[in-house]
Amino acid sequence: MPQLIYGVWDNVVYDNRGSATPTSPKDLPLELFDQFNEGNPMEIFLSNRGFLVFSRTASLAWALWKHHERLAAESCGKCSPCRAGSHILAQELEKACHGGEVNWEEVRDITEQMHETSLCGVGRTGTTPLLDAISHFPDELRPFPFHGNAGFYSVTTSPCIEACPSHVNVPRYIDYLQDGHNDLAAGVVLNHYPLAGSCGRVCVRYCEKACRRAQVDAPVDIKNLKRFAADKTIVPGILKPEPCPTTKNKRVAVIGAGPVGVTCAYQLLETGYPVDIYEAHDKAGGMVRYGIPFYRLPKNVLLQENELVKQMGGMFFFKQKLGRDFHIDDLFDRGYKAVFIATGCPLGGYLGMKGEDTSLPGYENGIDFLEKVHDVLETGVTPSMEGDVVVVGGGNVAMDCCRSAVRMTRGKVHLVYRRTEADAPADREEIVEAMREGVEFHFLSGQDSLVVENGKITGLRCVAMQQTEPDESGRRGVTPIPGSEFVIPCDHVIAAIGQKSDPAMLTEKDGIALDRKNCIVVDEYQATSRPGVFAGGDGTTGPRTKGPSVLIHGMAQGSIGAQAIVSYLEYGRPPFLARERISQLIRQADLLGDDPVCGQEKKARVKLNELAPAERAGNFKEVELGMSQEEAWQEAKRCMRCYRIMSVVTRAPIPGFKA
Amino acid sequence: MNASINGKEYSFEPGETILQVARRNGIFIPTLCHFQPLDHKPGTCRVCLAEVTDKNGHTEMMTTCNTPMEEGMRVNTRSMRVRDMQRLQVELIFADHDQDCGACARHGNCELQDLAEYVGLATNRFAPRMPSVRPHDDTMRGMVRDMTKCVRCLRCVEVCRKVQGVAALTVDGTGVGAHIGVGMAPSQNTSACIQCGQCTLVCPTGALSERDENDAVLDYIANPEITTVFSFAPSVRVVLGEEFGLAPGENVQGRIVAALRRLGADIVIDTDFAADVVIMEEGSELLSRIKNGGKLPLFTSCCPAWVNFAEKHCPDVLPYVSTTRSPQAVAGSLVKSYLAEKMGIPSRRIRTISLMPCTAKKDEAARPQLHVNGTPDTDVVLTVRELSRLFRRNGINLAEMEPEEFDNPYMSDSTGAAVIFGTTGGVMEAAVRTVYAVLNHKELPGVDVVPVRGEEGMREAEVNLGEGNGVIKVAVVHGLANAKKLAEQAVAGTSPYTFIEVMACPGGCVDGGGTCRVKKDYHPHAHERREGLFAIDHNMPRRQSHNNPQIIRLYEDFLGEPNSHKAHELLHTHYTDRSKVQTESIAATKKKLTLTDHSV
Repeated sequence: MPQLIYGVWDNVVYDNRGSATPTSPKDLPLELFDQFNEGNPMEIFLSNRGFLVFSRTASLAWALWKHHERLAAESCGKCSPCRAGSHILAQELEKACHGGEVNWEEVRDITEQMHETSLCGVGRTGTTPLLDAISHFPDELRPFPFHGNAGFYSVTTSPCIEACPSHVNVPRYIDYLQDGHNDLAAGVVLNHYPLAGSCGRVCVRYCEKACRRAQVDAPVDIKNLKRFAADKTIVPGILKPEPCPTTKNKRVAVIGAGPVGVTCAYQLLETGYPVDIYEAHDKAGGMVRYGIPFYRLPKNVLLQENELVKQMGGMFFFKQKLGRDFHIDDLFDRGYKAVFIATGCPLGGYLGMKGEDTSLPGYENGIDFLEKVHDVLETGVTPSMEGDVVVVGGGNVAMDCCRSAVRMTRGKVHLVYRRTEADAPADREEIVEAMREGVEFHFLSGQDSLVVENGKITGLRCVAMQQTEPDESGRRGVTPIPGSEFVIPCDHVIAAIGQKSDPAMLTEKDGIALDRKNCIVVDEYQATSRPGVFAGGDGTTGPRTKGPSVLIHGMAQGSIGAQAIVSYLEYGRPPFLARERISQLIRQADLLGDDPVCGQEKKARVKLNELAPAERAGNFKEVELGMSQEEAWQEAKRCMRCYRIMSVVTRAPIPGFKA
Repeated sequence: MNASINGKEYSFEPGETILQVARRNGIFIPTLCHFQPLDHKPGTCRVCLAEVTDKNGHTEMMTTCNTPMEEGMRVNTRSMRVRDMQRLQVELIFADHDQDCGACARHGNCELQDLAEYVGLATNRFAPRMPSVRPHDDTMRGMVRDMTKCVRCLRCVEVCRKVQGVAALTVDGTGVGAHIGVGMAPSQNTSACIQCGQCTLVCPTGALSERDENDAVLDYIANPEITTVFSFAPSVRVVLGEEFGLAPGENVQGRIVAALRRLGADIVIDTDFAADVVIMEEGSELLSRIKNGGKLPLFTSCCPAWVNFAEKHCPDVLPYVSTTRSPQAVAGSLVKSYLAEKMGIPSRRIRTISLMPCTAKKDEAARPQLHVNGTPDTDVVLTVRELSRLFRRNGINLAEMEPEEFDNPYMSDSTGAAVIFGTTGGVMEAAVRTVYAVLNHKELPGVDVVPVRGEEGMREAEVNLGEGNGVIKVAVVHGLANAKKLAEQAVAGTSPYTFIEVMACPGGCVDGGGTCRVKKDYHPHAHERREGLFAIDHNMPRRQSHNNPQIIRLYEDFLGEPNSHKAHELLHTHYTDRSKVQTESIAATKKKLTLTDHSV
C-alpha cells in the first residue's frame, strides 16, 4: 500500500513529510494508487481534485511541468486566460525544472486567473495541482536532483468520455462541429470505429446519461451530433477510405462481419496487418444489419461503413460459417497467426411454454422475424403480414419486432411483458415510440400457452403477474396471480426474449473454453483459452461483458481485441492498456465525482424533426430525421467541455509511453 | 426579482444576464467578444468579470455576459481583485496579439485598444514569450485575413453563418495557434468565402480587413502618362461622410467630387450613370426572357458577393442570373471604350478607379470575364474605408470641402432610379420604373414602387405592369441566408416569382462590407443611409433610367439599342460553376486531429 508523503486533495493539505502519524484523504482508498502497471509504482498523481505524492524522491516540479505541457496541448485556445496562460505556465515550469529564474508571483497570478476565469474544465480544473502546490508546498517546486528515468502518463477525460466504453472524445468532436469542421468531428469517431453513422443512430448513449449539462437543462444530444458528423462526411463520400499500407506480414482472421469483428479488423488494418473477414451471411453488418430495422437505421449507412473496411484492404469472405465451412484449426493451417471470433448470438429463443410447437405457422422468434423482414426490405419491397400480432418480451428486440409489425399489418399489435414498464430493459424512447405507433402494451402479463385451432394460432393465453416484495438486492420479482388467465386473440406470436450463440460453431476440438451457455470465455484482453484466439461481442463472457447487444460495448471489445492481437503478434504477451488502467482508477476512486454546475445560462436542447406516427404505417422510412447544420451548431454550443486532466508519474517508464 | 450591483439594489427579469442588468442601469463593464446585435456571447475573452456572491454567500469570479442574474445575487464590478484580473486578462489577450499597432488597419478605431485603456494596461510583459504560429492570408482580392491580430471573439464566424449562411469561416488550431480558418480549403480565395466583407464589419480588431490598395491609386495619380478616371457608387455618397464626422445619410456627393479633384483625379464620373445603363440592359433582358420563354425568375447580378455565392454555393441557379454586368463593370467597360473614344484618350493610358462600399467589388474587378486582352476594365477598387484613409493621407478633410458638380459630358448624369441601387429594393424599383415605361409607352404613375421598399430580409410584391401586360410577382432579398432559399426554390422549379433582386449584405450596399466600421455595433446607421438615398431620388429632376439624357446619347451614338450585339459584348458577362466538393482521405483527416489521447 503506497504511503502518502504529502499532497493536497479537495483543498485539504496532507503533509506527512515529518509526521509519525500520516494522514490521507478519508474517502480515497490509497491502495488504488499502488502500481500503475505491473511492478511500476505510482509516485505522483495529479488531477482536478489536487495532487498526491507517494515518493520522497519524485520531483513535483517535473510532474507539474509535464502535466502543464499536456494542459497547454489540450487548450483549445478560445478563451484568453487558458490560451496564453497555459503556454506561459508550461514554459515557466520547464524553466523551474532546469534551474532557471522563475517569477513565482507571476506564475501564481496566471494560475489563479486560469483556475478562476477559464471558459472550460481544461483551464479551470487542470490548474488545481499547480495552484495547490504553490499555495502549500512552494519549497517542493525548487529544481530537484532528478533521476530522470520516471514514467509519465496523462489523460484528458470528462464524464461523457469515461462513460463511453470506447472512450470517444465527445467534447472534441462536438467542438469540431461547432468550429465548422464536420470532417474532423467524424475523424474523432473514426479513430475508434468505422460505424460512426450507425452508432450515431442506435447508441444507448451512456455519455448522455453522464452529461453534466443535465444539471442545467438537459444533456447534450451527443448521439445525434455524432450522426450529423457522419451523415455530412462519410455518407456523402466527403471522407474517403484508402488502402492501408500493409506493413506487417502476419495475417489475422476475423470471424463474423458484425460491428465487433469489423471494428477489430478496422483497427488491425490501420496498424498495418492484413486481415481477412469470414462471414456466414452474404453481406457484412451482422446483427446491426438485419437485427435493427430500417426505420432506425437505413442500411445504406451501414453498408458504406462496412465498405470503408473493404476499401482499407479488408478481404471479406461471405457465406463462410464457422463450424460448417471451416474450423479454427483450418484458419491456422491457412497461415493466419491470430484469430478474432465475433460471431455474436445469432439464434433467437422461443418461449418454452407448455406444449409449444416451434414449427407452428405464425409462431416464430424475434431474430428470425427481423431477419425475414430485413431480407424482404432489402429487395426494395415493403413486407406485410395479415392479422393481429403478439410480441413477447421487454427488450429492444421486442420493441424492434412490435414496431416492425405495426408497419406491416392492418391488425392490432400487442406487446406482452411479465414485469413492469419501469423494469423493461428496452430503451425508454423505443417504448414511447412503440406506444405512439399504436402498439398495445400488456405489462405484468406472462405468457402461458398458445391457443391453437385447426393447426393455426388464434391467440396467446396470458396470466396477470404481480410484483413480489423486494429481495436483498432490492429487486422485485414477479409471480402469477392465480386465476387471472386471459387470452389475447391473435394470428402471430413472436418470441423476443433473448438470443443465444450457435452451439454448432465451436466444438471441443477447437480447444476454446465455453461457459454453460455456450459463450466463449475471455479475459480482460479478450483472449480465449486458446493462444492466438481472441473473441469479443455477444457470445463471449468476460470482465468486459456488459449485457447483450450493446453496440458500443461490442465495438470497444473489438478495439481491445485488436490491441491485444497486435501485442500478441509483436511481443507474445498481453498489452498494457494505459487508458483502460486510468479509467479503472477513475472509476474505483470516483475521481470525477459530481461537482455542481453553476452560473450557466439555460439553452434548450434542439428538438429534432421526426416522421409523425401517422406517416410511419406501411413503410420503414427512417423515423428520426437528424439535425440540420444550423441545429448542429446550436446544439454543439451547449457542450460545457467538462474536461479533467489526470497525470501519473511512475518510478519507471510506462510501456508504450515516452515521458 | 432583485439583486445588487456594487451595493445598490436593482430589479431584473428572469433570464437577464448580469451584464444586461448592469448596462440597463448605466454600470459599465468592459467587454470584447460579446456582440449584442447578433446576441453573440461565446464567453471567450473572459474580460467582463465581476465578483458574484450568490444567496448562499458563495463568492466566485464570473463572466457577466453569460451568467444569468439570480435573486439575491450581490455583484461587485469594481473591486481591486476584479480590476486586477481584468487587467491580467487583457495582458493575456495582448500576449499573442500583433504588437504593431501603427501599421494596423484598425489603428485608432480598435476595440482592443479601447480595452487596454479601460483596464489601464501598463506593460505588455508576455509578448516576447509567445510563438507566432498563425497565418496571414492575402490570397483574396477583397480582404486580408491576418490572424496575428485575431482575439478569437468568433464574431466573424457567427455573422458568416447566421447572417450570410455562407459558413466559410471555421475555427482552426488549438492553444496559442487557435485562429479563424477557412475549412478544408488551402486558402481563403479558394474557400467557400464570397468576400462580402460582413466579417470585417464585426471584427473588433484589424484581423479581418479590406485589402488596402491606396498606394496603387497614388502611383497612378503621380504618373503623368496616366489618365485617372474615378467613379463612385450610389451608396458611397451617403456613407463616407460618417468617416469625417458628418451625419449618417448626409449626401456628400459634391464634396467627394471636389475632394477627388483636390487629390489629383483627371476625370470624375458617376457609377450612377452606369446603374442607369444596367437598368436599360437588365430591364430589356427581363422583358426578353418573359417574351421568349427564357429562364425565370431572373435574379439580379449587380452584387458581386451574390454572384460569388451563386457560383460557389449554388451553381444550378446561374442560368437564372442576369447576364448584365454590374454598374462597376459597366462603368469600367464603357470608360475604356466609349469614354476613351469620345475623349480621344487611348484606353491603355486610362486607369479606372472604382470607389465602392464593398470588398467583393475588388474581387469582381479581377474576374477574367471583365478583362479585355488581359487588361482589367476596372483597375483598382477602393472601399469606403480606404477612400477615407486616402483622403486623410492627403490631408483632405471631406467635411471642409466645398461641394462641386460633376462635369463629364458622357458618363456623369444620373437619375433617381440609379441612386437607389445602393439600398435593398432599389434595383427592383428602378427596373420596374423603366420596364413599365417600355411596355406602356408612359411613365409609371407615382414613380415610387413602395411595396418593394422596406427592411425585412425577404419581401415580395405583385407588380402591375399595366393594362394587357399582367401582374408579375417579384421578390427582394438581402442577407445571403435569405437568398439561398429563393435560389433553391428557383432551381427546384417552384419559384412563384418572375424577378428577384438579391443583395448579399443585409440592407444592401449602404451596409456593404466595405463601409465604415462601427465599434460593437452592426449597421447602426442603416436607416439613415437608406433614407438618404431615397431623399436624393425624390429630389432628382429625372427619376427613371431611360430618361437620363447621357443614356439616350450612349445608345444613339454608341451602342445602338439595349441588348444589341455591341451591348452584349461590352455590358454582359457569363458565369462559371466554381462550386467544389472537397474530399479527403480518412487517414489524412485523422492526421489533422488535435487529439492528445490516441489509445482507445
